[in-house]
Amino acid sequence: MSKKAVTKTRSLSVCHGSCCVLAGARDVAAALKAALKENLPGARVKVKKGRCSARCGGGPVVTVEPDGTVYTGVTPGDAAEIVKKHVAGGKVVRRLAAKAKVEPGPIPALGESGFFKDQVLIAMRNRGRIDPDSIDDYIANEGYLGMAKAVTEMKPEQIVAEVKKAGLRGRGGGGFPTGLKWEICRNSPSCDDKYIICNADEGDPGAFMDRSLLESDPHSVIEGMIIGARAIGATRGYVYVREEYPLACDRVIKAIDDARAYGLLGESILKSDFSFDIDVVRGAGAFVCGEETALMASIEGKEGKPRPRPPFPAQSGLWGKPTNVNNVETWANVPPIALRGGAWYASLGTARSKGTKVFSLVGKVKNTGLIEVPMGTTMRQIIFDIGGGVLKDRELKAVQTGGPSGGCIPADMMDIPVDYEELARAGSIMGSGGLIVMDDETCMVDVARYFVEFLEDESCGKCTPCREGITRMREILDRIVEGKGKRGDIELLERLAFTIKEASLCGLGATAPNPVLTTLKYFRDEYEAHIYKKRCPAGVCKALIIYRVVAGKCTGCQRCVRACPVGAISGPRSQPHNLDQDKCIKCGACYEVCKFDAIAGDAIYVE
Amino acid sequence: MLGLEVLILEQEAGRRSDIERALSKEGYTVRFAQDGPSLLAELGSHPPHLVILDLDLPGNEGMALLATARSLQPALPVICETELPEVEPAVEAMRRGAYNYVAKSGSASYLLETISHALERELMAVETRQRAKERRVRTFDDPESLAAIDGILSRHDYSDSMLISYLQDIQKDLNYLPQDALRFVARRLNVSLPRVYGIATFYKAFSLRPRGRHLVHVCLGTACHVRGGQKLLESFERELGVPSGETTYDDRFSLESVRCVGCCGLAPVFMVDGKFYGKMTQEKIPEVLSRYE
Repeated sequence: MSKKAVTKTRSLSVCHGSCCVLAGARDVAAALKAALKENLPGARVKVKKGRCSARCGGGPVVTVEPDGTVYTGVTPGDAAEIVKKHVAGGKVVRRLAAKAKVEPGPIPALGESGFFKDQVLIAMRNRGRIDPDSIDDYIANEGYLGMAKAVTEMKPEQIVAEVKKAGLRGRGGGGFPTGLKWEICRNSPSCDDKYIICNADEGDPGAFMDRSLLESDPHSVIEGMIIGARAIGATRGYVYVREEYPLACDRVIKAIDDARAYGLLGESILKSDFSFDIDVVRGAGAFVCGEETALMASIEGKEGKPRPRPPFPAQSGLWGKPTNVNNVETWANVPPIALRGGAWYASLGTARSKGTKVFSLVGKVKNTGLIEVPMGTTMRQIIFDIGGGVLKDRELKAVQTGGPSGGCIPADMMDIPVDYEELARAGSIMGSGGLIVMDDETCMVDVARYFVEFLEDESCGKCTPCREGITRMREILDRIVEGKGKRGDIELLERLAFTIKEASLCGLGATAPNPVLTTLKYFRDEYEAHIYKKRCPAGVCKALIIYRVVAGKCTGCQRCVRACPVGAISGPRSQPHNLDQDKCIKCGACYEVCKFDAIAGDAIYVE
Repeated sequence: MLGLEVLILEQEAGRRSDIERALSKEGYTVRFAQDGPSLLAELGSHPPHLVILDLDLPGNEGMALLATARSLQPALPVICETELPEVEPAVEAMRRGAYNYVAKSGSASYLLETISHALERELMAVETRQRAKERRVRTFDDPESLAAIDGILSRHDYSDSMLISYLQDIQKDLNYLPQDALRFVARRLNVSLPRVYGIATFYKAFSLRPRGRHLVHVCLGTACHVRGGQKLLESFERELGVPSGETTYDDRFSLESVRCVGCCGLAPVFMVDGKFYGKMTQEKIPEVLSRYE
């Protein structure tokens, strides 16, 4: 009787990206299969076709799971050694191993890697731990305990008091104290109906915590809403989900149905006199619907345009009834507060910003993803300790926070503790928590133009300062990035920014100039370089750069010749290529594929 | 060539009769304009299929007429004639939109050939436009289509507060929001057409034009932007030959941009029919597109 082979290895993933396939990944996979069959018959180890491992220069790449060892430059001849030594013997084949992991996988053992060890999970407490489609999983992890406590043991006033004590503030961007908001709505003249709304119209580009929360832990949001409804005295709730998030929508609908089936939603919840139910409304693609009055108009089946306040939604909101709107992350924070008490929550964070905040750490950073840290964690800790630093170890230039309404914080201010007040002091806002890391290859004028264009697109057009003012700003910025900027443009931008800020109807307009103002404040030299020297220091603005081949570095590999869509690059194999400036459309395709820095950042210069 | 009209401005009587003879023999209807102003007036009142223009008119009037005629009728082919062909005026004429530049001394058959090429191209363009038009005006006011739309409206008891949701469902079934559907919805819900139209144009998810079989969404969220999303979009525009927001001629792809799909870790990202492609480079686009028919 043959003994069944024992190994910890579960799979050998052979990268099947195009580079690795060209380098012989298929043969390597076949050789690994053969070696497994010969040396470990019956072992349950799979040889998988992996996705591109982004180590295209070192193919073929083999990743051993679950330990995550990466082998590069593997040949069919190495297969037997990997199987015998690593799979069977548990020892790494040093000769082939890539250097220490650069990017930890998305979920290594929690708390071990640098990415996870500084995080404190409250809103994202169940991340990766539970099956989002299983209400039982949620309940097994303290789910609905806070809600049970709130409904059966606490008076509504007590719930409001705990949330106030917790110091929880709106996580969607405004930062308004949640407890106070609830209290106002609760105290507004009683009538038959009050509504609560979960704002899941996550519009800030670069922020995706709401999506993640709804997709991975929908019940935490539902539980938060039930507690909120109990505190406020609402009978009906809505979850307004962005149409770009179909999966989130499905998960929430399933979760609501499950909760209803368990008697956690509907008539007489937990046999109390409290009844409450939730509907899901899909958005249809409008950034401004994240603004609460616009959002309510959208739920009513109208165009999502904001209206002036007062009256505030807490007095007259959805269908003219008192309404309370909170963001997904805010709702997800409520159950633990109800369960553990406000004082526990308030023990985390800074003097005026309590608890934790989820950030989406994206852009030019090594570890991208969602992180949750106590308020007051410094930007440096977030970017370098958790994020692992800037991609390709380039120089950090700025971090953009708060989405299109936020601003850019320069590299020399990385030691500020991140909370509502400090970010505001730096000229930016917390927003929904997008942190976009920018390196020296990011042009700040281009970034400002990007946000202004975004807001021009999304302005609902109701009030003039926003509609016209933003368009004028975009025109000026267009001019600057096209190399047609002129003296006085910067001052004009500043004047426009002031007027738009002062005179706009809603938050969209009032914060729209922020990206321009902060980049002007911290990166004025870049604007000046564009306007006066007709130069884009970051090498981004098409009109101000030219691509050229660096003869000394070009190996004549022909990759850029194939990549160029207009045939501007020519040259025989193994000899430095020639780039025809007349044909070049500056698409950057050659720059993307060049492996030898021959068409490189340092090679970009301006005439 | 029956019914094809050629309008001619030619100052030499001899040349006029030569052209008239040659063209009439081939079945063209020939009209003559006396001078520049009457030529332009003719273009407005009875637009011909083609114009032959004498560039030797005094005071370089020919060139000016050419530009004006092209601006009045951008699709109209204009063939320029001259006694003394030279490179510079030829280039100038082509630049101003002439279809061709021929010498008066050339053979009649060459002129006829040039005319028939120009008209062929013109006819093809007309046909293309016609076909595109037919495609666009497919109607949806037959009982069957309306019953399907009615079914969608009945899901929420014809409540007008669910308008956005109805339109989403209609678009899901029909791929866009045809005019007939919008009219029917307004009538059936007893709300004004402008209100329905307002919703259909306010929200980005809705399209009033038919879209291609496959929908390409290029993410322009901030993370994608700093990692080259704009370049991806431009690359798609080149690859598909249409600007963002348009549909390819063969109805295969519609290209749109979207503001952040919430997959910032994979930036830059694009989607085809809802399937995500992350960490993309321009180089990979043709291969991905080839997977969709």
